[in-house]
Amino acid sequence: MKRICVCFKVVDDFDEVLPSDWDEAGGDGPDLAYVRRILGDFDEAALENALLVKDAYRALGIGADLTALTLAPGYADHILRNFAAVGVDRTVCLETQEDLRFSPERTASALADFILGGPPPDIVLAGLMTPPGGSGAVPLFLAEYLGLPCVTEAISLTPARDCVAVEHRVDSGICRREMLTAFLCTIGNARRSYLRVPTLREALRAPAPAIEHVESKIAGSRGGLKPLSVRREDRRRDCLFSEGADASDHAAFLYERVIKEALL
Amino acid sequence: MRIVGIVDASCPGHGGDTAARLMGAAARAGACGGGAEASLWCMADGGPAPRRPWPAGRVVIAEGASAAAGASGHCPEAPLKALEALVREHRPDLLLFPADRAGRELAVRLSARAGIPCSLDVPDLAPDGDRLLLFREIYNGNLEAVFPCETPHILTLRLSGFEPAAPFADPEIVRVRAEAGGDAPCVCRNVLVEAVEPEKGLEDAGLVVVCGAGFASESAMEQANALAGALGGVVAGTRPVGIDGRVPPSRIVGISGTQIQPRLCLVLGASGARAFAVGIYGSACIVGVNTDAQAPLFKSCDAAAVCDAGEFARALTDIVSSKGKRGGADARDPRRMSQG
Repeated sequence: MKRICVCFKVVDDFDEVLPSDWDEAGGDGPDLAYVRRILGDFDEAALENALLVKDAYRALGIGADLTALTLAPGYADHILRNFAAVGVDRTVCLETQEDLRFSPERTASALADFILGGPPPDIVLAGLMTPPGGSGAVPLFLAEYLGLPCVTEAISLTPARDCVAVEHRVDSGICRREMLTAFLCTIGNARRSYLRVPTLREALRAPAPAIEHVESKIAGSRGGLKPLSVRREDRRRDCLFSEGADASDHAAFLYERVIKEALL
Repeated sequence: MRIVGIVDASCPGHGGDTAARLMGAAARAGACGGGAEASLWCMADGGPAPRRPWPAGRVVIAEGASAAAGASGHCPEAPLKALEALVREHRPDLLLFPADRAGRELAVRLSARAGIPCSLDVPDLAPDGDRLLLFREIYNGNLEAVFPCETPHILTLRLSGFEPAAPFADPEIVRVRAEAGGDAPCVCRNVLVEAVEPEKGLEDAGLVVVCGAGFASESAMEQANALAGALGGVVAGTRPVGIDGRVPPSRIVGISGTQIQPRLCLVLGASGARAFAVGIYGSACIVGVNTDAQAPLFKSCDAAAVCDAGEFARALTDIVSSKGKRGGADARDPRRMSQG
């Protein structure tokens, strides 16, 4: 039996935030209570790739158990309720009242404490980075705290009986590594990035969602910075709108006025 | 303040300009509180020590400490062990890494091991009396935050905003031999590098045609390729376009992809959400095309057209082709784009 653990985060959909709320954001950010909650982009990819790894193990005749782990998700029932139907065996929400938005060390510490308290996983997956901090430091801290080798920015994972082939991005290009378990892997802009949607049959067949809520006490006080101030940087440029009756006119106008000079 | 810039000689992006900009950042940071004592630490492999003009008065070359020094081809454990030892010995106040993949990984892992806080992807630093402030984008680039930079601190820096420091005529070179092996958990054990496929990204492109979700059909991508070919540029996409496989992941522009700085950025059929727009702000000239006159994209543009992106691309391709010359921004064959 292989144990897979995927760490994910539920975040606010920033595309729904009114521009005026960004402009008037004070303290350390705007009030986002009215905004839809979604899976972090890379975390959604991590969940889908964890399911693909589980599927691949099953095709090899190897059992796999998938745990989805998140910290302080807030309102996320509409997202988590489908997890069992798509193949997640266990969904765990660590609960804390601590503000961890800009504390990657403490976030990783909470995740590591939970993981180390159970049977050791063979593969730990996490999204490359998640807002609002968006530093991408959590998975790297987590690898350190778990004492695991780490592969960053994976674009695909292909399990075999004795290893997992991981294609991942490095500064010089794409590298393929064969990793023996256990290891941690961050998922970047992967080949499969959207989380599958359960069919009606899968949804009906799935057990009732049993989401475990576990109180998390994060030891120590180190880590995390509070912003002194935030602001919306005004990046507006003076835009010259082209004139013309059709696209050809627009193209000719912009070519003569702007593009030709930029090409010189 | 003791400030150290750190480069790994085996990393493709850690050349002379990177080291010079790191030391330029060190000079900016050192402007707060009585000046800085800046040095450069270079993680080198076991071969002949790198020779180059050094942009620091003191250079520590840690031999056998590059990430490529291990048998597996890429092992951050070697530089990490060397850095831990150097930090214990020299106790620097600021450790500066470039904000690339290798720099981020080393910075966070060193932070965890040395117990020094770290901040990543910092585009700017500013002295504020006796303290240092650092700036970072948060909320997917929708806001910029100012954080206090308490020392000691580890930073990864986006170096384009820092002027390179001048080379030193006669720097002090110190060579140290990195510790080998040891009982520390090897973060890259059991790793086999099978193949490395070079992949050219967007960082150095002079002209980029960016396709948004409104211009991402198969025929649209053909038009984008034709236009990029005529202009001598490369094709890129927003994240949804990349996720749908229309452009390779290395060609995704935005907060979750590449932040580009071409002379000309032509954006076709993108709405201009901030998470994308952050990726094009560095462009010298931005031209946007969208059918929606209210698209947020236009706030980021120097020039724009409200019309169908496909018809615009076709017309512009014809105009550029009829002029008979390319822009020369980056003469890559756009047909290679689809091969990643």
